[in-house]
Amino acid sequence: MLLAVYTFRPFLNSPPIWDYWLLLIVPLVVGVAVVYKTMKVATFAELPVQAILTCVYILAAMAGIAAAVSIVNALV
Amino acid sequence: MTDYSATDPAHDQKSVSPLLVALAGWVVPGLGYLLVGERWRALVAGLAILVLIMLGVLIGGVRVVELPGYDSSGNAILIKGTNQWVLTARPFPTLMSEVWFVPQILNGPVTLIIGQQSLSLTRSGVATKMHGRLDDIGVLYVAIAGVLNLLIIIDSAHRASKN
Repeated sequence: MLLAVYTFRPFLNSPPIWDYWLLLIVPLVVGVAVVYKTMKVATFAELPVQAILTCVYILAAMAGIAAAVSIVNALV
Repeated sequence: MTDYSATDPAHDQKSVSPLLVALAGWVVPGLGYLLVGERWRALVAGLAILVLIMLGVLIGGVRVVELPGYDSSGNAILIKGTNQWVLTARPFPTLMSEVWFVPQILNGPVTLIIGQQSLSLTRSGVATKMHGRLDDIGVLYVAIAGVLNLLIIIDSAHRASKN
């Protein structure tokens, strides 16, 4: 009902993506990886592969930590 | 350890004061790299930070940046009796009450511009503060962009000191 009257106005209120909020971690991680690797790599050619690898590592680490925490939560 | 001797075709080392490089990097994300001749680093890092800021404002609305010293209606908070602005009278506690502004301001004047827009749109009733996860995520995007900008400021200033 609320969604029916909600009007998204770019830069004024949030888009109706409440159910997909978890996916918003991906562009954030991409940004972090790109900026971090921009500082670290010696040449521009190395950047795409290094940034993709860093994204994968961060997301895998987050997923691993989330899994571990949910296991602990289920056991305690 | 980063090898600063490594060069690429777009790399053209220049001797500039590290302080000036740091200041330029704060004013415009990536400008510090440009001053030390790291053109592709300047472009990629600067654009990535600006995209993160814009995504944050798009996700949470313009009120993800809230300037300290203003209430939820966008009016300056004055101390009763003295009529002094709370930010000048008690800067530290006021800043701590809007603690996300601290990493956000590391993005430079762009944060102040967004904050000013946030205030004027709030006063005119066009923008309202969003609540919930999307607002939190938007705030986080802009704050993380600020921390990343601090990293590239430090890195570009360090490169300037090596030249």
